[in-house]
Parts: sequence; C-alpha cells; structure tokens
Amino acid sequence: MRKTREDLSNRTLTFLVALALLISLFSTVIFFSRSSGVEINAALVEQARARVNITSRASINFTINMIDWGSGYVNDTALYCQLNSEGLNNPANCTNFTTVYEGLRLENDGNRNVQVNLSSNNSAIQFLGGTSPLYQWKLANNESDSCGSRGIGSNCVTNASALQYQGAYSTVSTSPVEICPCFRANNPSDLVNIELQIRIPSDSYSGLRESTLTAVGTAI
Amino acid sequence: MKKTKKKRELNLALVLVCVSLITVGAVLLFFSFYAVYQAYDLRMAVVVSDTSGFNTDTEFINFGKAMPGNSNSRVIVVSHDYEKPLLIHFKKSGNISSFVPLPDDFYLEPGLSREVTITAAVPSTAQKSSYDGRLTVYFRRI
Repeated sequence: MRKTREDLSNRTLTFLVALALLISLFSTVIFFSRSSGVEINAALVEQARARVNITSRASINFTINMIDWGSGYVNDTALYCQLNSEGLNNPANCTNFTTVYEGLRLENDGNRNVQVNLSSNNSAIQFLGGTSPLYQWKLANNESDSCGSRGIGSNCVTNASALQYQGAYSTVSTSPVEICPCFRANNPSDLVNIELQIRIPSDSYSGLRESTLTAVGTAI
Repeated sequence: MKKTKKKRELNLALVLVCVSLITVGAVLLFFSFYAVYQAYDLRMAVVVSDTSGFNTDTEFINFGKAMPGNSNSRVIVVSHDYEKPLLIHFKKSGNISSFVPLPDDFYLEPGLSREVTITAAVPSTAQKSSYDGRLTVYFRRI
C-alpha cells in the first residue's frame, strides 16, 4: 500500500516535471519567435518611448434642436415662418412653435485665451429646404470684453469689434470662420452669446430637422 | 527514516522548480501575446451645465462644460519610436465613461504620430453634475 502511494507520488511528480518542461519550452519558442530575437530587449535597452500629448485644441458641437422651437407649421396664408432665439415667433405666420428667448452660450472655461472658429454642418437649404430658407447666426459679448484682438504673446487686447457677426443676423457658414481672435479665459469676461434665426418656407422639408454648430477653440 | 525525509525534500524542491518553470512560461506566453510596451493613464473630466465651455488646458483631457445633448471633443496626439509598429488600444473608466465612446484600435508605425479625437457626448438625459474618469492608452506589441 505504501509502495503504491509512493509510486503514485512519483508518477505525479514525473507528470509535473514533464508539464513544466513542455510549457517552458513552448513559451520560450513562442516568445522568441514573436519578438524576433532581441527586439524586446532592444526596446528596453534603447529606451524607446511612446508618447501621448494632449493638444490645446477643443471643440464643442451644439445640436440645434437644443434651441428647441419644437414642432409646428407655416400657416396656409404665409410664405414662411421666421423664428429666432430672441423671442421672434409671429403667430400670423407660425403655428405651434415654441417661442425661445435664449440662444447658445459659449464660455472659455479654461485658463488660456483661445482663438475661436465656428461652422455649421449644413446650410439653410440643407437644413430646412424649400424656397428661400434662412439659417443665420448673430454673436454678442455676454460679458463685456470677452472677445478681443490678439495682443503680444497670448494676451488679448480690448476691441469691441473683434467679435464677428455682431449686430445683425448673418448666414451661417459651412466652413470654419474665425469669430473671435482672442476669447478671454478670465472670469467674468469669458462668455459669448450665439443667437440663431431660421426662416422656414411653406414648402420646406417636414419631419425632425437637425443641424450641428461646431465651435473650435485653439489656445493662443 | 532519514532517507525518506531526504526524498521528501527533493520532491518538494522539484515541485518548486516545476512551479517556477510553469510561472515563467506563463509570463513569457503572456508577454508574447499581450505585451504592453507602455501605457498612459489620462484623466478625463466634463461638467454638464446650462452653458457650453471650452477648456484648452493640456494637463488632462478636460472637456470643459457641456450642455445635455451636446458633445465636446479634445484631440490627443499619439506617437512612439520603438523599432516596430505597435497596436494602440484604449480603455476607459469612471462615471464619465458612458459619455465617451472609445476610439478604434489602430497600428502605429515608429516615428509617425496620429491625432485621435476623444469626444464626450453628453446625453440629453444627463444630470447636471461633474463627471470624471480615466482614459488609458496602451502601446501593445503586435
């Protein structure tokens, strides 16, 4: 009985040794074939490096059902319905649309002054369709002096007209346009309003329409 | 009695050697198939609020402020100078991770760099709060 136990133990041990040799041999062959000889050592010795850098560029995508005029229609007697984010919603032309009193707010939330480009992913005809649609934006400093001109280095210089598209609504651009050369980072001068206006023709597309405005800020 | 004790010790030593060999083998196999040359762990953060705001700071992936339903993006540049192409793989964690779709894995040749856009797409149902997490960039052997 004792001999049988010893035999069993010896057999287990032999199996373990064989398994260990097999695994180590197999893994060594695999290791060297996959690492093509010395490359893994070379990589360690040569101190090759991998790098990940975070760029000083940031972008924001505004989905334009955010300024939610809701759903509605152009009255039978009207050629179009014009809406904007400053409360324009004429019931003589428009039915059931929500009156919106606030547009988009864009803030420089970081510590560095940035240059800002703005673009839309579609034009008025692509967004709304129909005859003579309009899709326009208008910008304003929400906090005074938020947008200035470029000064020396990364400084901004006060310039009330540095912010583009102020005063009147202008057609959105589908290619990036510079709206502010120097958007300040310092609170409380770091907030810009983006107001939007659309004209929906009576023969416009129906259904849910969506547009995306992209603001890209690059640190200066 | 003495002989049996010696045999037991020998057996124990053999078992230890075997366990060591198996461990080394497993580690080699692991490195052969899953070797990670380097890994970068980057913090990510976004504040969901009523306004949208840039943050171009480069200390971490700061998405700034985002309104529910909007998305904010940052760009990272990945490069390496190891001797062979590596597989770039991404992992995420934290309560921000449900907002951040992972970029696809890609191969990167040595000496080249590639821009990768990381986006925080905030769902319209997201609560206004601060969200935080980590993005890990793995440089794996092919």
